[in-house]
Amino acid sequence: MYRNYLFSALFILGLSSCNPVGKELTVLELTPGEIATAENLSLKKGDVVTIWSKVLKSSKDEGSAFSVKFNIENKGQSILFDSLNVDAQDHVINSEKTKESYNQSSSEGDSTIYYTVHEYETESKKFTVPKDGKYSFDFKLTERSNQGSFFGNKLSIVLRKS
Amino acid sequence: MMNLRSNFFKNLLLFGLLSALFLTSCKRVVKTDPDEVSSADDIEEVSKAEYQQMMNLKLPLKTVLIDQRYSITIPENSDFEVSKMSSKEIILGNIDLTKIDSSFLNVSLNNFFTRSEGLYSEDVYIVPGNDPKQFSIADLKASDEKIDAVYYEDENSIVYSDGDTFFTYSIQYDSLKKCFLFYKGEISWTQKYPKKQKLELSLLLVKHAKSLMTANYQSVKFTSWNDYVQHMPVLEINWINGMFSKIEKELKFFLEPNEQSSPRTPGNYTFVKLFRPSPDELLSFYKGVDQLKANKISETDYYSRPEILRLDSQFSYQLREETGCYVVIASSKNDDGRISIKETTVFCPVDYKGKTFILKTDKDLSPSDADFFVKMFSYFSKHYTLNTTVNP
Repeated sequence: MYRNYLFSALFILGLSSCNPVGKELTVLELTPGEIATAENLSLKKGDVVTIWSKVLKSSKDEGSAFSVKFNIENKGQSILFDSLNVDAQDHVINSEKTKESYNQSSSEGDSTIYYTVHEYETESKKFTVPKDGKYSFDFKLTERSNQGSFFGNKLSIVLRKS
Repeated sequence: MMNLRSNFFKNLLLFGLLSALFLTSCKRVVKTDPDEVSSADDIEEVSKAEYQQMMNLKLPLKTVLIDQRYSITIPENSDFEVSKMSSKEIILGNIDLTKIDSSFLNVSLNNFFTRSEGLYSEDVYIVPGNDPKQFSIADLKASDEKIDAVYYEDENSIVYSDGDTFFTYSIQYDSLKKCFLFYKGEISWTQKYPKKQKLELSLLLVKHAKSLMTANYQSVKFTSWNDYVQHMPVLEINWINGMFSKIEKELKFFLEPNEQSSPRTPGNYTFVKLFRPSPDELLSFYKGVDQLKANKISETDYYSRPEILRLDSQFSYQLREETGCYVVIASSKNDDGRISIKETTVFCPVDYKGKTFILKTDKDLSPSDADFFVKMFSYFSKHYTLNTTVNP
């Protein structure tokens, strides 16, 4: 009898989490060397904002070393300055690999080169809102190596609230 | 059997009820922030008070001679280019200047905001004519197909919109020189700013237009960044502040030693560069300043050229020190001795929490822009922000 209730309750609980990763607040596309800002997000004390890194990597391009730093402000005061772990693999969602190709002409004739594009989102940081108010989130992507370039790869930040 | 069935229905009912409860709780009501709802953009015309307030502004002006004949008065931080017009199609509102027999002059006024960013444009047309009544604002409006709304109008000037493009026109007659001065200011629809801000700027352009023939004016000098801000349209202030909020964050958080940052403008240009130099780079910057002071430029080889202040013995330099900033004017001469290039760069060291940064203008400026940047940089080096509401 109780097992039935427990089963129903757990089943419903599962259903109720209709958005398991939280509600999307904003998406910011990052450009190397530029600060991207999500301004005036109204948040309540106890809200948990998860910073997801949305990565698009192509096997065609050599990936360069880069870092992403971020700053969270409330009323013009910085309350958290840190860097993001973009390579964290603990919680990856929306992962999709696609095969693409391009044609290359050389003296030996035309050939088709295949490469893989991997797009995924990875959970990089969680931030618990300390008090009700408006918050700004700044992100800056910096390239760390001169070899290879960020060109061909894309990095966006997705902020979700739960 | 009955008992089992009733239990099943009980469970089903409970399940249904709880499901409904949870499913409905997924929907959230998004409240709109009252601050974000704009009520100011349904303006129909400029009030007398707004107009008067703008006309009362005391702006630094200068009188310049055009084609060695005509003198016009323009804002002090503007420079100008003159071209002779004859066959080009110039239509001012509904006046077709191509129908005029004589050639006329086009004086295009430029400042930092108009030059590359193209926030707006300002042109003056000097058109010879003997009849002061030949052109009027009524002619300009004659066919109203291009005019969506008129926001301001008096006997010789008008502000109207055509879609999201705002025009400011004025027609004045110089009876001494027997010529018309047409003024045309334009803020393009491509500039996505609130209508209220575009209108305020259009009104400032009316002020510019009405100053053209002013001969006796009080000499005004802006002595601080606050002075500039109090006389600048909101659109320009917001533009600058938007850019400097990035510079401010670079200074306070993001920029690491040996890094530099040059945020892109809304028009995708560069504007100001912030350096966090290494001790060596800082030293070579001051060495360069010393060379300029001594007026002795020693040539460095290409690969070891310093990044911040790069000097070239082919140029001649002028250095001016003002409120903590360095203004460097580089000019080069053609073989015939005429100055071919004149570039102005403003530098300003900023000390923040024991770290030294250098602000540098990242565009080729004209000498008339220098003061604007000197006051801006000087304010920033003291307050680490351009937000004047925090430090009035």
